[in-house]
Amino acid sequence: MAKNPDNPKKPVKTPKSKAPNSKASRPDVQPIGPALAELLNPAINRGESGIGSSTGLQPPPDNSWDRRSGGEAAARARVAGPTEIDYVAQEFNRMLDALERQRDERAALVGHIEKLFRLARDVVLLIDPSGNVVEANDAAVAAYGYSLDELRGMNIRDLRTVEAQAAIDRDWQGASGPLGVLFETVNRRKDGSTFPVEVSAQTIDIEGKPYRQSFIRDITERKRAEQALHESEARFRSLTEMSSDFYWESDAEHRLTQRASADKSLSSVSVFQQGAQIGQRRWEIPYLSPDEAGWQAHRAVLDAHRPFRDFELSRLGADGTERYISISGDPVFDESGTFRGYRGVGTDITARKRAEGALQQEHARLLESERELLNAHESLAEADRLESVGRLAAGVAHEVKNPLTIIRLGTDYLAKQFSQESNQEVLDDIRAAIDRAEHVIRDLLDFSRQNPFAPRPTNINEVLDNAIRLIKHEIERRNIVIIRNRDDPMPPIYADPDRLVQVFINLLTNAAQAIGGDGRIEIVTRSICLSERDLEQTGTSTLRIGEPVVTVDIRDNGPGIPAEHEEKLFEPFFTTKPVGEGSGLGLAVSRSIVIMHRGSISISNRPEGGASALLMFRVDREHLTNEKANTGSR
Amino acid sequence: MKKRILVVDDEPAMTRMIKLNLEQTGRYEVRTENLGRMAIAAAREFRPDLILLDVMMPGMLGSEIAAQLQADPELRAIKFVFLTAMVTKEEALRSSGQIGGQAFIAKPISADDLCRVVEEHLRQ
Repeated sequence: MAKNPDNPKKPVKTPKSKAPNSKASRPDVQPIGPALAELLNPAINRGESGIGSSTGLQPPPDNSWDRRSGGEAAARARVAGPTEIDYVAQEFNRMLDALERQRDERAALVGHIEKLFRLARDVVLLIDPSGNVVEANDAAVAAYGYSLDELRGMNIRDLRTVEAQAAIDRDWQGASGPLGVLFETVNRRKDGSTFPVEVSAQTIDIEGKPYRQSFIRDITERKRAEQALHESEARFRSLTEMSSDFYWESDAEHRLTQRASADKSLSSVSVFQQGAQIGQRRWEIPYLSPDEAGWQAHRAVLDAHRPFRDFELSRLGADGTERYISISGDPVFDESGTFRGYRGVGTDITARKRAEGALQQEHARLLESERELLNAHESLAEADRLESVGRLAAGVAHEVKNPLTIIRLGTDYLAKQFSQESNQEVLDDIRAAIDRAEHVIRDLLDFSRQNPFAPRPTNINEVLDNAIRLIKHEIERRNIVIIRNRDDPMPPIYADPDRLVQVFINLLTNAAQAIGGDGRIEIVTRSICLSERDLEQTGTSTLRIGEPVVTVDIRDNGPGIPAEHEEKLFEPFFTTKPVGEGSGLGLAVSRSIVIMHRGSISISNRPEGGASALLMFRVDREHLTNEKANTGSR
Repeated sequence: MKKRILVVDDEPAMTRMIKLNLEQTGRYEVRTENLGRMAIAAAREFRPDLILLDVMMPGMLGSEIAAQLQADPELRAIKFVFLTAMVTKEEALRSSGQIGGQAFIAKPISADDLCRVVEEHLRQ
């Protein structure tokens, strides 16, 4: 509240009775009819000033209104006195004032419009029915470089470039309509330079003739800005296309509103069996990944209107494979800060994902190789152990052979000396015991061959031929038929044929002994790429799926292997053969030899009866390399 | 006339058993020698048709004795067959009685087989 400077405690009075105009008017003014006055302006009688004071209802102090209207005093009614006539005169003057004001305002408006016309930034031309310029503004002079006089009388056709002249009739079509026409063309200055313009034109009727008025705007800047925008847009599109496969937008409800693909990747977007459709949310389309938790996390980000990068999802591709896309997006807000949706890009990352997968597989394979190496190392260690045992056994065997020979020859001699039947039985028992000992010793020696392991490219079929020839006597004696079934040509394996022949002699002898007599042994040799099923059959860890291998399957039609023996087959000194026929070392030796070759051996019963010994060996690496080289050069 | 056979082996029991079995046939006259280094002298004196020669003997290897026999013009014609305990079953199968171009008998051997092999070599 304002304070009175003389007496701070006394509030300042509102200037009710001290208003300057009321002081000037009240003492000299005769009151008009109170009822009418009250009706016209209640403020007067109440002695209030306020807005009423400026409306001119109070009689002027000198009884003259001239001072306020200024000029033409003669036309004004003289106010003789404070009568009702005076009031009427006052009213008349007031109306006259209003009219004058209106005329003044109109004149001012016309002046203003003329000024606007003159000074308008846009070119304004008035054109007569034959296309000649009647009037032009300053902007026209500035824009075209012609003087106003030069412009007046020029045909608008001459203001256009030659190229743009042809279109003039078409551009002006419809100019007589209520909305006129709006077109762009190119104009030419006096100096011959050109500039793009936007023309807003309309036909106006002047004294019954169709004149035309044109508002012409130089749009050079706008065109430049448009061009810059266009370039910028192209640049962004190009960048987007380079870094992503499609552009997308979604609304505040996360429904897809737009999706545009670069041409090059149209195919990669349509690779899905069911891709995103306008109006759908990302998670409303069948997907393969991420899982529920992944989507929840993504939706939490969207609902928080936060930007996101590289959100990965996968759907079933049109080709039935899993296809991945990576999506990034930024929230969009309007000027008031209201969330409007998202816009972003997406990229088909299937190739990358697959490469990653392949890498992982490769890694797994590496781990597998490492495991294999360890296994191989163990196998070698086992083979080594077996060899040491064998060498020891060989030393023993040699020392045992001489006394055995002496016993044998002594027994044979005595057998001829004593013809008594009872003596013969005793001697036969001794000879059988010597045979047994001899078998064990020879097997031990086989087991411990002193020759160093000498692998070389070897044809498995030749090794088998050799083995068969060596046991031919045994086979024929038992009336057994050997059937060969071989792939030809057979790739070489890297093996020591002298050792392998031992394996096959053992296996074939076993088969022959199992059959007993009158049977058949089928030997099937194949060159294959190892399948998962093959691998299961062998139970080995030294061979890999897909690896080229040579397999030997020795099938007999004997009684097969009793279940309780299967586990022990390869244990040293395990034998089911009658006394004197086997040492129990044959399969143990065979296995150690196969292991030495990093191959596999398994023995099983065949569904159709009899047993099968399945062996697998790697194809010689050098052979494979050469093969590949040859194939490559072909 | 009986064929003469010299048996050289460091083990007396071995030479005795071979001699007994061969002589039992009544077809051979057998002399034994247990010292490798005496083998050449024994051969020169006895003039055998065939020598059965143990490979592994202390002092002198059977192969060395064989080499000396081959080098001696007077003894070169004498046939010899090695006796060895070092042969495996598989080697025996493969070699058909020959190792390194030399005939051999793998120990242990039965009396019948011994006589058969000796007879075969004498006939050659």
